[in-house]
Amino acid sequence: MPEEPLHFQTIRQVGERIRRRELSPVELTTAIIDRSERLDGPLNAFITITREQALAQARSAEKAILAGHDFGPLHGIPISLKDLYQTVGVKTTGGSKILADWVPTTDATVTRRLSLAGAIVIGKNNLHEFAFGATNENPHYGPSRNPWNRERITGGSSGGSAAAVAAGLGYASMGSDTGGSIRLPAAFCGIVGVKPTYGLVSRAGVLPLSWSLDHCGPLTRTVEDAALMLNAIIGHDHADPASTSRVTPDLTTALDGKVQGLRVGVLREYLGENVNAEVASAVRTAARDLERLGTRVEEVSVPEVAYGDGASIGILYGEAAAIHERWLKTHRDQYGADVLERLSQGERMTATQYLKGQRARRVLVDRFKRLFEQIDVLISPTVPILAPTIPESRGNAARAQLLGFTRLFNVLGLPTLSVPCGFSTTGLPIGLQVAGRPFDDITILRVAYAYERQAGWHSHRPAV
Amino acid sequence: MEQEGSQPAAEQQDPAFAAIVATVERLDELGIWAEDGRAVVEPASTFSWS
Repeated sequence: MPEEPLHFQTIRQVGERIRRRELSPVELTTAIIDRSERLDGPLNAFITITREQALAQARSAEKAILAGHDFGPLHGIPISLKDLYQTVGVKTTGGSKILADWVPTTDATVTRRLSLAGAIVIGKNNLHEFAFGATNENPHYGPSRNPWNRERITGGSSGGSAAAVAAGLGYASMGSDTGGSIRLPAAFCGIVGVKPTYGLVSRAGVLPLSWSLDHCGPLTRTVEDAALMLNAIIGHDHADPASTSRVTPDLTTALDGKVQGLRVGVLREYLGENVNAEVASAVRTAARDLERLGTRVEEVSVPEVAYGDGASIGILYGEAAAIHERWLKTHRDQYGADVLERLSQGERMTATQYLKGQRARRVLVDRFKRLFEQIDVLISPTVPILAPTIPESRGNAARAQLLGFTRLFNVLGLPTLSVPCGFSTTGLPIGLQVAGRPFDDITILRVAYAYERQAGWHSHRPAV
Repeated sequence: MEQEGSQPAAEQQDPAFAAIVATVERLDELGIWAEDGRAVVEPASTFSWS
């Protein structure tokens, strides 16, 4: 089998070459930035490319390696960050006009941890304005476009992150997920996206959308690369009130552990008539693949998932309006139309409606605690539809479906990922969603890793 | 009489907002009330698995 071009290799592969001193971080970073500057125009995956800062970081990484220091698997690896992550000396726009010129003086905790792990930040990715939307059609910076078909949306809100990783413009990107904003674009762009358990990855220094629903996580081309990214960023952070004080495990050591005997639930409510036939077929085939790997696959039914949207909206809209309260008074005319509409709706929600969302959350959490006594992981399509065209995505029908299967898992706070599970006849990627028990992130990664190796969809590349 | 700016008035003028409110109000079906109207489920206001 011919070797992958450098830009499509994995973090594991290029990291090993860097540590063997066969590949220089400066050469690698230069190559990836050159490629990003050459190809990003039509994709619009980046708001800012940080050539000078990245090359300075790469020179430091190279110097450390030559001095015999090894910061780990991310040492010298070019990555990017959704433009919600604070970066010292580099503007952090949030995809907004309001923060178009904001240059933070502190890094987000995740930015700092990735830097300590030796990763090289080559730029800041395009996103749906303030992460409050699922199409990534940004009125201020333009839409990000799907590398598999540029007429189609990437999905959002971490759409620039997904487009960059899928197109080989970096080895990973950090996204955020409040209702599916990592998993949805990962599914539409044919890559892996992980929303870890609530509390596992610090959100400190990442512009918030909804305090109790926001999660930070990586988008990568393989499950192993996602685990390598997570290893560098998980762990307690006193700056994030939700951060867990649990001892966090190494997520790569048990990755290739056995999956035989694991109980896999297929969620009936997410495979009904509301699902595109090709998406449903790909997910059913994935279930059979998992069965061949020795897992015990069974259909499960949780009728209460029908209330996931209501719980999510009740919580999200109120928290988002609270977060934006000041700017809604002082900079109201600087928001894009769709985000302002949602924030205005949030302003009009009542406290009792917000608390109804939180009360429903308790019921749903209890229901899923019982479900996960029966099963180890739950699978479903990540998104019920294929990536729509940009004009199609403006319709209410498409918008309602984009987050229909993902937002429940933000309400639940459970670890949930999307892994590629096939392509439509028109060549559009399809994602398999895998959810697990709280803080059992390793099991969803292990199942996805075994599936990925069996199915091989991760080796397909868009023609960019 | 509804006060100016209250939610029911806003809903009448904005079908999209009315749809959102209806989705949230449907959560009543999740058993968060007793039949006699007592609120029987507390909010998960300090949500965390930690």
